[in-house]
Amino acid sequence: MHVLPRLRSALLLPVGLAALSLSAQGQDPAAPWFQEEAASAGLDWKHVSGAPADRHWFPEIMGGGVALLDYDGDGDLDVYFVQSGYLIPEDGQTSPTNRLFKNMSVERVAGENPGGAGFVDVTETAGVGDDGYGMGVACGDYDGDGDVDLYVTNVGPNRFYQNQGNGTFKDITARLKVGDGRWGTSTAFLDANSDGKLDLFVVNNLNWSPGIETPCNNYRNKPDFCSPNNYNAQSTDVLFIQGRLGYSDYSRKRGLHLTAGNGLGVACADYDSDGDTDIYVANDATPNALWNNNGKDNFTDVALAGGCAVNSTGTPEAGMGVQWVDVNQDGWFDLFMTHIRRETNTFYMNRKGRFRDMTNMTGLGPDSVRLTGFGMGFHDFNLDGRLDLYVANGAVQAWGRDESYGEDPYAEPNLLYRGLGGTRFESLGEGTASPVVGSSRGAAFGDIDNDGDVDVVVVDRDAHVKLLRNVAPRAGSWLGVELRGARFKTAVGAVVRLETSSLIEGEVVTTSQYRLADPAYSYLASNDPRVHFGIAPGHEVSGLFVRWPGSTEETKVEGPTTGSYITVQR
Amino acid sequence: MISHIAIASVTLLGPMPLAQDPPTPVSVEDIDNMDPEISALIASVLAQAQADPASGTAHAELGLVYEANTLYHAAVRSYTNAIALLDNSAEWIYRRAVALDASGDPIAALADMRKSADALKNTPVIQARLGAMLLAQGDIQGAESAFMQAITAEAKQPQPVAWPQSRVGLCQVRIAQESWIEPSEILERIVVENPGYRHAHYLLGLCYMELGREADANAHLQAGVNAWPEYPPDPHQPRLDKYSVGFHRRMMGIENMLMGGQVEPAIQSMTEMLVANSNNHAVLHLLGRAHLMTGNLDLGIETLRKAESAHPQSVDIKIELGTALMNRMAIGITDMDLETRQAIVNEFTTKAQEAISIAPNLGRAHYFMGLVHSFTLDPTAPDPQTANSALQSMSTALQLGCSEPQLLERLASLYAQTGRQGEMLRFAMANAERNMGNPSAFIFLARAQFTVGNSTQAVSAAKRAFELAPREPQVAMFYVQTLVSTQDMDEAVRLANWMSQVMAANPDVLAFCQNVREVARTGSLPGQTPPKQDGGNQESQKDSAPNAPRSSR
Repeated sequence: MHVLPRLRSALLLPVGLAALSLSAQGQDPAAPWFQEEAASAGLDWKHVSGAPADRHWFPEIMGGGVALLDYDGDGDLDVYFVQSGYLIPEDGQTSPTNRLFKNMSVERVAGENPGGAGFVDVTETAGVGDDGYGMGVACGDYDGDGDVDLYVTNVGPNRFYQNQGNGTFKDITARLKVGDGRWGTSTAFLDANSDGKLDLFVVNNLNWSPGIETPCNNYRNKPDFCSPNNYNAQSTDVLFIQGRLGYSDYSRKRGLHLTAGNGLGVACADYDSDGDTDIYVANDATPNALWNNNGKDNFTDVALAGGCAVNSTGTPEAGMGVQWVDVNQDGWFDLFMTHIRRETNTFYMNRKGRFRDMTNMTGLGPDSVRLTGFGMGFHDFNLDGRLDLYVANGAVQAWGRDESYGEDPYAEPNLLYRGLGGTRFESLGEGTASPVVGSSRGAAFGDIDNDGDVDVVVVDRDAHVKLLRNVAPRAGSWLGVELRGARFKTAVGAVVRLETSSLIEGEVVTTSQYRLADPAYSYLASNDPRVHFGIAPGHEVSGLFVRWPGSTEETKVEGPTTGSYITVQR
Repeated sequence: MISHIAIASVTLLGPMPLAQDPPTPVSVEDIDNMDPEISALIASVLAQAQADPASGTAHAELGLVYEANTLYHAAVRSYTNAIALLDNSAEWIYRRAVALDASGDPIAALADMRKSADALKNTPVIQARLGAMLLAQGDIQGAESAFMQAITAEAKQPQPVAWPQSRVGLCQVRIAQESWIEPSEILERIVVENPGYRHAHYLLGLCYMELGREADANAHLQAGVNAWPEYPPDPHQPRLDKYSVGFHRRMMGIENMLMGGQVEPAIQSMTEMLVANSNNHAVLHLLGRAHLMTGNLDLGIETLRKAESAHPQSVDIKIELGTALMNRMAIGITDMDLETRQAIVNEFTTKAQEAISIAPNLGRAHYFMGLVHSFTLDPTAPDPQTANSALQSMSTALQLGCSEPQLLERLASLYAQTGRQGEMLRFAMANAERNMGNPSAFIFLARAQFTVGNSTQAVSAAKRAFELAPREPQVAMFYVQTLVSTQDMDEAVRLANWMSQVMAANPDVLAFCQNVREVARTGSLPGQTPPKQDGGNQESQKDSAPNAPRSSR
């Protein structure tokens, strides 16, 4: 196991320098955890749904997406926005395209960008301005050449951009035959057959076309967006397996065509610790699917028998964003997903491969009932050694003026929860000094300014993007780990365990935290591929271990240094 | 059933309202833009409250109108007015709790529900709802007490009752306490008494899974999917139903009527609705379906044609019209001249093509096209080109996620007809997996297994069907038939004797059982050639096996 020292602390954006020094020791419980800084950072992008006021086509309420990726390999996270646009452009209407913004932090530190913006739009140069009606995005080094490639889902054919390693991308969708053509939503790179190469999973929502649209009313009895069940047009998902000659659609061969749903979210993990990657799909108003990987032969949907297809009352919920996360730090990855108003967001605890809806024991339920959750992420935002949660909310039906939050009838406040240890959380409201409301959809999580804490980028429907920089009072320290695969041996899906020791009443007590190295979680998003640990005060790192994908054994990493990012080579 | 459950008039101790102006009845904005029926109802009840703003009952009634039409915040405010004017009426605090919960404020809802439950200990619905709220917020012990109180309250009614919802709630508590045997026993009784109670099925499936009874668990979990929380009868429900109005509510009501078999009243309602707007495609569509349900195919087709004319882009109407035309053809084929037949075939083929053209990615449209191809297929001598076209359409439907319940069975049948037995078996197995609680799916699988000579697996599938519906005569007879086919005569006779007892009123069953005993005794039925005595090779089993799978049209 090689550790490449790669200290990246203190690569700062031009904004918020003061906040860092304030956050170092401050422990004000009322202090905000996030500060909205998109405009001042030069992240000038607005989502366009393309929906006229009197039209309610279903895809127009669901976008858009966002990815955090280091496309140019310079050590900081760049941002890619997946734009919706116009489903059927009218005469003279040009669909706005997806945009890639380069993070200029490294250039700033090197003195190459004095006084310039924190982010610069490099879409045209990079060649990633897809003009499809965009939804989600996956990031991964599919060809193992050391740079990150992009897969974008659309209402219509999807797009595969191969990174050329020189700041540009090449559209190779046709060559790889991965366009699909249906309404793709969330998507993920994964190693489905444990051969070390990245395969590709695409979640599809309705088999939509304007012809299936039907009039629906909202809770105030006014025309509004439908529930997906009004269409009876569920779709199947797609698994593209990478072979020597490129990708092939293995959905049918692997049994994925036998379960249909209104898919929105996806997350992959070896939930049963048997050494292969399984796939969870959050469906909207239809039972969720847990595709159990039976080794190299087949996938079987075990969600219903496994206890994670429907909630504790047997009700299929409106699954949107989803994440595999070991909330109780027992080495088994649990499931959390966001849902529509009048449903809780739901926590399924993994009990050695079988799940139970334990939302009622987390404190995450009550606040979520009045809101519609989309993007979400568990991270230790305040570095106290406990996972916290951020949920981006936005309605899909207008609830009326006495229940709304501002001009946008679909706008809702986002929610931040502080982890209290174990599976308990408490709501901290929006987590910002001033209200942050919008029709939030995609949310991506990552350390954008490389200062050792996790920031959030939120895409709001028909609104400007929000960059929520983490300014939370820091309780402890941190460690970041970037995993690098070997040649044709991906690191996506690896599990990293951080062991820390503390002295409690004269006894040395060791605790473990588990993190999944997979950027595909949340909603329509790809996140910081590095794993991030907060370390509680009084705790010392006593060990760092990696379980590489396809393996059931842990490998110890020597000499991790807190307060920095380290790179671990497979 | 619920009329005798009333909410007693109980007031909670609290500050008495000060002598002041009565509260202003709650109004909602942009009422004029709502469904005319809803705005008219609100205006009427609001006017009554405005005429007598000191009447708590009038505010409460207005609250019910808002709640019935999903205007929950307005309902909460109206109930608050009523509570103030009615000396902290526990009844309306309860109602406010329900409305608060529906509006997305479970914390405030729980506070209200606690208050009303303290005051109205003998109202089962309030105790059960309190139990559910406490459970949702992690108070397992509190939930247990509330559900127990609900069960106690049921026994204290003037006519004691034992509603399943309270016991299901208690089972949820037990499951949260990691107890499995006690709730499984309670839930077993509940699903026998209430076979359609999905939540009970789901929880029973969870218990069975923990108890290691996986096959039973899967059947109940599948029967429980799409469940929803249910509560004991609510005394306010009749009034809420009365106040639930508007076009969409009426359409939902009509759909419920149709599902409940009340076709004529539904037709009457829709006919009245068409007086105001004769070109409403949604009403015409549903009316066409209702006529089809009465067996009046021609009127159904005519009405669906009108619906299509009113909404030419509706895929659903095209598919339903095309299917009705196919049925018309199937039923009346002998009465039709060639020209009429060709015209109908052309019309439903066109509907399928149009559906695919409008929604090329919609699985149901391709499924319908598969039905169109299958329609002309002779199952005994299938034309390979037509069979392949049918297979291609059905496969596309499957690939696109079509959830038509008969899709897998039809695919299996098409593969059987085209001689691809491996594929046939694969889809028959997938069909059974998808319908774990459906005995027909296992009978279909058993037939498929027999067709390919897997007699042992065939008996297993037939046994599973029997386990799912042991008292269903056709299922039981099929299982016994498979036992006879595989020469397991002891078990066949044992079951035949059992069937003779429990299905003694069914002459077909008695005759069948007599035949089984006769075969066991003599080796054959009177006048029949005895079966081979070599233990039964595959051919002999296939000969005597039930028919190869064929999907019903």
